[in-house]
Amino acid sequence: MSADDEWLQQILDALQAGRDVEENFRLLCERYHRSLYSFFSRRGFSPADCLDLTQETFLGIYQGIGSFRRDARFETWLFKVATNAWRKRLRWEVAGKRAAEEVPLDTALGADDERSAFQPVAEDPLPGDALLEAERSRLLREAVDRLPDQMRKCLVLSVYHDFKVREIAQLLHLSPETVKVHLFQARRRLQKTLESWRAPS
Amino acid sequence: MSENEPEIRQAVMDWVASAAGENDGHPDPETLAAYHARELPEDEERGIQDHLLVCRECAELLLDLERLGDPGFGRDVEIPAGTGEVLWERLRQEIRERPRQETVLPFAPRRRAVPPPWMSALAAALLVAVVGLSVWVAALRQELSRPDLRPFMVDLAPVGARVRDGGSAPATVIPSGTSRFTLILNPERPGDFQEYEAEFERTDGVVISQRGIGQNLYGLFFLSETRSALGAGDYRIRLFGIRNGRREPLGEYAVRILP
Repeated sequence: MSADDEWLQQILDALQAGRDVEENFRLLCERYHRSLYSFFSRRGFSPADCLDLTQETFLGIYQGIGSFRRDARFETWLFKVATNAWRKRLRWEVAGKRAAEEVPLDTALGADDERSAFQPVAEDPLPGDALLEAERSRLLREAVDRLPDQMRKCLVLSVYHDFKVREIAQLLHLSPETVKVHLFQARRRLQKTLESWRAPS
Repeated sequence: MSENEPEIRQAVMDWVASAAGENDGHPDPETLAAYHARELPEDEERGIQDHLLVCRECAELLLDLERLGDPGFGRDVEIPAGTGEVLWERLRQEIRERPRQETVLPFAPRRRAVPPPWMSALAAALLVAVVGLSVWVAALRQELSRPDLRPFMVDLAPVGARVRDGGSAPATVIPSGTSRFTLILNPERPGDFQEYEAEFERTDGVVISQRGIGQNLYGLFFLSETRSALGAGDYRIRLFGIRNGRREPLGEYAVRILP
């Protein structure tokens, strides 16, 4: 057990036993408030909202500390309370926006306003090009679908979400080396598909 | 990175677009935590992984769960000076006013009281209100968790960009029936800033959303939105680069969400 873990266990022991509750809770807040604030900030909340949500999460922790079972990590419980606070706030915001009055387009934009003259742009590629493009897209999409499950997951998390190798490894419970191999092989297989498609032409 | 990377990228995006419809909404925090602790059965674990492929939100939650215990987590986030003190002051007041729940004694004496006559009417009214609210919440939950069978992704043209007929690029239209959509911002010069930020502004000038946004390997920015969060209407999206606390505009885009 690390010194940090030991410190946390002592704080939790004291809080659950009701010893020096205010002081121990202050120490807990001091240790975790940056992490919690960042958790909310990374989800796009304003500083004021981050502060409110951090406070709400700590209050949830304070209220429930007596029934916290120590077989789980404290951070896992903190995560659950924070995520519930975040999702509750999202639902509340969605409900608030629904109730808000909508601004009619006609009054918001003048008739001569250039922004009111929205016209969709139609791209007209040559029919032959479009067919070739569609065929290539179909072949590649099928090649992605045929990749082994874990390999495809690594590729999607890397290419679509831009996650780093270390993050993909954490998300899929794999080693970073395995992720690297999967990414390399996935790209090689798709390149082969592309090469075989190009070869006849 | 190979010369075929754009094609591979497009193929992956196409695959994700076709797979997104098979998803069944977000797992709850308990399930995510259980996945993180590797406590889920294999089939459920596979289900979570399939969800992560199409849901960056849950993937980032899981990564944050990993980092929450790390004292260095959040060093990259600018926290206003004195936040810890303000927070503790507010918490201290709250916990002094709201004592912690104590364990309930198993044989606590029960208080007998005769309810006043108006209590029944109040109880009935509350019951009706609770049932109504439950129906509304259930409908809201259903809508929020409903998978979108037609995920919509569009590359935005900056306001003022010239198009083939010589006019300005029009606003991009998000069609009716699209509940979730991804907007791709492709600024001419994304530059190398410490952070980037995107804001949504309504036509009346009110900024309704402002958030940090990440740049990918190709200099693109992806904004995933839901119709229910924004609502129908015309919006300007502004992209800023942030260096040393100063925002520099990088691009402006017009979007119209049809009712």
